[in-house]
This record gives sequence, C-alpha cells and structure tokens, in this order.
Amino acid sequence: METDGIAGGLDDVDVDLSDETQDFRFLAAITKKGGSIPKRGEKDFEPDGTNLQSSTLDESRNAMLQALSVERSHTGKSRVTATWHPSRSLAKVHEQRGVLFKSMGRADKTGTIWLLPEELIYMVERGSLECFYDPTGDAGINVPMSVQAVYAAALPATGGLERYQVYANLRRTGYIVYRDPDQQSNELFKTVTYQYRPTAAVDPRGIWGIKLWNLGMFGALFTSVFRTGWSRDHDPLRPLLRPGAYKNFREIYTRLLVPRHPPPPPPPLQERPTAEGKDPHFNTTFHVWKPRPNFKKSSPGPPDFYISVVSTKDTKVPSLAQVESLFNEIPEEVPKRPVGAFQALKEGRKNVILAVVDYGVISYMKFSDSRFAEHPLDVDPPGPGKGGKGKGKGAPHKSGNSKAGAKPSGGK
Amino acid sequence: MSVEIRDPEAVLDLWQKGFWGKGSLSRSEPTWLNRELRRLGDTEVGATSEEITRQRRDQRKEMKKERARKEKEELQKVKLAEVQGESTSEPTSSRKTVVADVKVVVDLEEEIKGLEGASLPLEPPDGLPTPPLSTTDGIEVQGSNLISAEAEITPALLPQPSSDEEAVGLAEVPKAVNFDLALTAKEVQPPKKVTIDNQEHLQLTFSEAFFLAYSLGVLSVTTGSSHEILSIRDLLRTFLRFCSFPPLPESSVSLSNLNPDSSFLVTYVAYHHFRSLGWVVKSGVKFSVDFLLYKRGPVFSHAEFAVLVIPSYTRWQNRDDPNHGWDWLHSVTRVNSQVKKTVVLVYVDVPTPAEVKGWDKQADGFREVLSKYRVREVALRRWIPGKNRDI
Repeated sequence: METDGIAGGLDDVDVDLSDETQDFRFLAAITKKGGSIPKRGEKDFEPDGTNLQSSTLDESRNAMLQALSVERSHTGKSRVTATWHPSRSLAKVHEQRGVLFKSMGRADKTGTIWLLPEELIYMVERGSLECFYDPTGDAGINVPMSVQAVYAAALPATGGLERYQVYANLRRTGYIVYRDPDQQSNELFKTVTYQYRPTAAVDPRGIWGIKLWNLGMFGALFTSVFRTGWSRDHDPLRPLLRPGAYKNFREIYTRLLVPRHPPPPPPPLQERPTAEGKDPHFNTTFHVWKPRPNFKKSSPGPPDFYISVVSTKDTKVPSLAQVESLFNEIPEEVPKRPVGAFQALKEGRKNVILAVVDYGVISYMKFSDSRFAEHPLDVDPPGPGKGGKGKGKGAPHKSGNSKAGAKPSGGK
Repeated sequence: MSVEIRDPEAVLDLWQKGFWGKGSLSRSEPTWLNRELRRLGDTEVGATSEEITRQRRDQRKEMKKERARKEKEELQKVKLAEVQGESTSEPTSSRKTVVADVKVVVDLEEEIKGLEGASLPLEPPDGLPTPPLSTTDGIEVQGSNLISAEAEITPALLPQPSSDEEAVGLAEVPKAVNFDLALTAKEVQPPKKVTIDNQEHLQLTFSEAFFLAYSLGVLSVTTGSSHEILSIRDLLRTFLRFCSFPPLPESSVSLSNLNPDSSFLVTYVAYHHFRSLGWVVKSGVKFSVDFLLYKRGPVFSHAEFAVLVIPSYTRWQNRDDPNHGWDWLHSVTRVNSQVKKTVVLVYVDVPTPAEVKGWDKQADGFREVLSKYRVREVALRRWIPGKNRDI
C-alpha cells in the first residue's frame, strides 16, 4: 500500500526548483522592463517537432547569453573600496555604502568597518566592492586586486572552499550569515549579544533521565502484588507484562517500557567550546538569520538556523558522538505555537542543518533531536464522549472500544 | 528465517490485534485464501485489499491515459496551427495564446500499453481456474533450522478493528468509477462456494516473536524438529545464533557471556523501543530502511517514519562506529521523501559485555540488559534555502 504514496506527488517542501533545467527567458523580461521574476514552468525534455518549442528554447538561450554578456561595472555613486590586511585576515572598508553593510562586516571602536574574508570574496565576486592589497598594514601602497587575487589571498582564512561555497549560497538566497563566534579568529567578531549556547539549566543529561510515566501508587501496589505471588521470581527472562487485570492499554504499555539509564556524564559544560576540544568536522560553522528588513547587526537576536558545513571528502554520516556534540553546542528551541505530535517529532527540540558539500554541490539536511520517548502515542481509544470525530474514523474507534472491553485475561 | 504461525485463529488474532507478522504469500495481511477463493469464483468472500489497490491503480492508469490523449490532441492543434500560420504568414501573435497548455508528450500511451501487457498474467481469464495444489510441500522449508510456532495467544493488545471493516471502508471509495463492467457481470452469477486448503501462513520476524514471547508472554515457540516448547532462554539463544548468516556455531553463543553487540539484540532494542511507545513497527525493507513506524497500524494510514538503526560503540574501547557514506544517506532520504516518509536515524548505543555481565543471575535481568542500551533518534529532513525564508 505504501507505493500509493509515490503517485501522490512530492511534498512541496522537498522539491528544489534549482534542480530543474532552467528557462532563462525570465532574464530578458527583467532586463527589458524591470519586471518581477516569473514562476518557472514545466520541464521540457524532448523535441516535439513544433516550431513553438524550438523558438521557446532559442529565446531562453538568447536571454541567458545576453544576461551573461552584460558588462559588469562599478557606478561612481555606489563604489565601495577596501584594503586587505593579511596580518589580521580582515579587510578594512574605506567608506561604507549600500544596503549590504546592514548585514555584513563589523565596526571597531574607532568606527572603521572590517570585513571577514568570506564577506570580502562575496562582495568582490558580485561586483559590489573593489579591493586593494596592503602588505604592510599601513595604507601606503595601493595594489588593486583581481577576483582571482582576492580568492587566493582570502580563501584560506575562510576555513576552506566548502565553507565559502555554503556562505555564498546562503547569502545569494538572501540569508544573513555570520560565523559561529567560536570559529572567529578575530576578537572583534567574537562577542555577540545573543545566547547561542545551551544554558546551564538545560542539562543535556536531562533527556536521558528516567522520565517515563510514573507508575504511581497503584502501579507500585500492583507490581508488588504480582511480585510476591509470582513463581518465576528469579527468572531473568520473566515477561515484562505480568498476568493480571489491566484497566486500559496505557497500563500495559507502561509496563513494557524499558527505563533508560542516564549515560556516562558528558564533558562538563563550563570548559566546553575551545576550538581544539571540538570535533574537527562536526561543529557549528555558521549562524544564519532569515532575511528581514529590520536586521541589526549589533543586536541580531538569536539565529534562526545553525549550520554545520561538512565535506564529503573527509566526512561520513556522523556517529552518535558527533551528533551529540553538535546538539550539545546549541540551545533548545521552544516551539512558538503548539504543534502536533508528528510535527514535534519531525522538528525536534534542537536542530542543526548539515550543509554537505560534495565537490561544489551543496545539499542541506536538517538533523532534529526527536525524542520519541517524550511523545508516546495514544494507545487507548478515545472515550465515548470524544469518539466519532469524523464519519470515516468513527467506525474503527468503536470497534476498538468493543475489543478493549473483551481484552485482558490471564497469560499462561 | 522466521517464526511461522499456522493456526488460522492465531493468525487472525495476531494480525487484527496489533498487525504482527506478514502473510507468506501476501504483501502484508495474509489474504491468500480469500484472493484464491475469489479467483475461483467463490461468491461469499468480499473484495480483498489487494483487489481494491489494483482497482485504484487501474483508475489512475486510466486517468493518465486520458491525460496523455488530451496532451497529444493539444500538440496536434499546435502543429496544425503552425502549418496554417506558415501559409498565412502570421506566426507570433497566434502562437503565444496556446503556450500555457502545451506539454511534451512522452509517448505515455505506449508506456501504458506496455504496463497492461505486463499485468495481464496476474489476472487469468475467467472459467479456467488452476487446480489448487494438493500438498503444502512446495512452500514448507525443510530442515532443523526451521522454527515454527504454535501460538497461544491472549486477546487483544491494541485496539484495532478487523481488517474486514477496513476493506469495506475502502470499498466505498471507488464508487465514482466509470468502468464497473466486470463487477456488474459478476453480480449476476449464481452463488458458489469453493473449498480449498489454506496454503499460507503468517511469518513473524525474530523481533516480533521475541516481543510476543518475552515482553508480553503470550507466544510459545517450537522448533521444526520437535514439538517441545522452547523456554524463553532457549528462544533467545536460538535467535542469537540464527540472526547472522551463516548461523553461529552453537558453542559460540553463551547467555552468561552475552555479547550485547549481537545484531538480533541491537535490532530488538530498537523494535522494543518504538513498540513500547505505541507505534506499530513493520519491516522497512521496501524503502531501504530497517523499520517503518505506523500510527495505529498499516491499514489506517501510511507509515509516518522510516527508521534506520545505527549501532554505536561510544562505550567500547578500540571499536569504530560503522561508517556510512553520504551517498548512502542521500539515496535513503531521496527514496523516502518520494513516499513522504521522514527518515529517522536511530542510534543504538551498545553496552560492553562487561556491563551486562551477570544479568542471568538476577530477577528481570534481561530488562536490565535492555536498559543498558541507549537509544537516540535523529529525524532527517531535506532543507531547502529557498523554501525557508519568510520573505
């Protein structure tokens, strides 16, 4: 029956339009009239022999070539320049102009704006900034840098090509991206105004605690009664469910639960994130905010997403220890609105997005701390008052009730 | 290898009260007998879920055929318009008007014809019933490895309706179908009763059987060679031996020196974990995962979660965690997003042999063993930057 789902179409969230072959005609529309970006249409795979199709393809191709052939230039008004300081691995902006600075760079005490290497490459690459090289650190010589030169000089300081690729991809999509403060090499960027570590109150061990349903007094009473009157008292393989009278299914399920012991204590919270102590591959790389008009880089508020950049060259699917170290680094999210059990399981209380870079191709995967044990399913049929929500579901509930009545008798 | 249930009453109980096991000759619910009866023209048996599924697929096929036909027509129109347009030399303006409706027709009709040809053998022509096989020798697996079960079952564990009711519920759906010819023809037939032997049995996986035997204490298992009921201790030993292929030698499996890294134990811990939380856990082999998690049961809704069990060895010395490549994970998540399931990585942290030592000397020792395993679930979802912005 599961195969039915295949024909049911794709979950909207899982369809990535950029996977499709693109129709570039929209580019022509933008350059000509300054119109908005139209929705992309259906995929066209095979020539169907109509002039319509071939002319459509021609138009798309021409539009793409035209867009690519546009000469890129700085206009006098919005020209921004900066100087790369190799000693600090930062670029000093001479005068800030334009909206990009609302979410990039940071000012020091004197009010000078400094750009991180990834910010510099990104701005140079998209033609928003011209960069000069200053080997001494004092703005004496001004050697203009090409895009290649900027890459060569600044890329090592970004932490690797994969990180820059993810950074640029997220920026181009509109997100606001800053490095995790622990990943910053420069003091200027290390201090942030928001809480991004789990607070001490949230002990990561808590989730392993034996927070199961309380058996309650009655439960204890029942158990003790059966213990004494049970012949297999010393049997290590005694069934979890003792023969007896159970009022509802929840009681039965409670007895089936295996208590989980808390794990050996994790490394203490205080002496955590030194850059050396972390897993070299699985750690939070970027803090990401959704695009918003009133973003303030001085007080951004907690990030919307935590991104960890990993490369397929030197990593595999993370192990338990690696996943846990990722989760231990970030605070718990409190759901803004009550969500259903399924949604809660899918969203989890902690979320890390792994940006898996496979030689330039980025795939983002959200790892959510699900905690199924905190969301047990309803095992008892709803009471007579609540039954019959819908016509279709009424029947199964009723039959469930009748069976529940007939249910438990003794075991063996 | 599986535990077989042959008592029809037990089979029905196990399926209806918790969806245990799988019919040996069916996709899931053991329906072979009913399907066979209907094929032989028995008028007293209602439609099986397989038939309803097939009916739905036929409808869908019909719909696709119709769509392909319309697309083809549309294409013809465009071509015709272009030919006429060339003669009147007024191409561009008239062309634009049709753009929206045109799609390329991959020769869908051909494809569908191929499908039909393939599905024909499934439905043998009426009036030519194949004689029922007289013995069950054909399916019975021989040898001492065989484990069969005489089930002794206490009534319901889960509130589930009988599958017949579900079938009725589903049968109401295709009322609007336009090809009822076959059905109406059958209604005219005189009532007929067919008697054949049921050649199907219910198969339980090791985890299911052990859950029923140990956790619930409602199942007794014998081996194929003798009628003596295995004690739970012997059952555990048997499962520990036969969970790997080739089976481990008898001497290497010891209960007092239990190896917690046995694949049976790791799988069982994950199975028990979800089953005890109220999920109906079925095999996920069809979707390249270990388990599928159903809420209430497979007849009510599609599985919501697909579980990958990953053993971990954080407490072991010099023991590396299994390493799967990213390509493996990508393919699994791709397959499962096609069928709208959320993949969940379930890390089972295996205790060391020293930690479980002495379990067989104390009461409820096995429960203690189970509690030494740590289970942590991580749900995976594809994250697409373009879809997660608010603006």
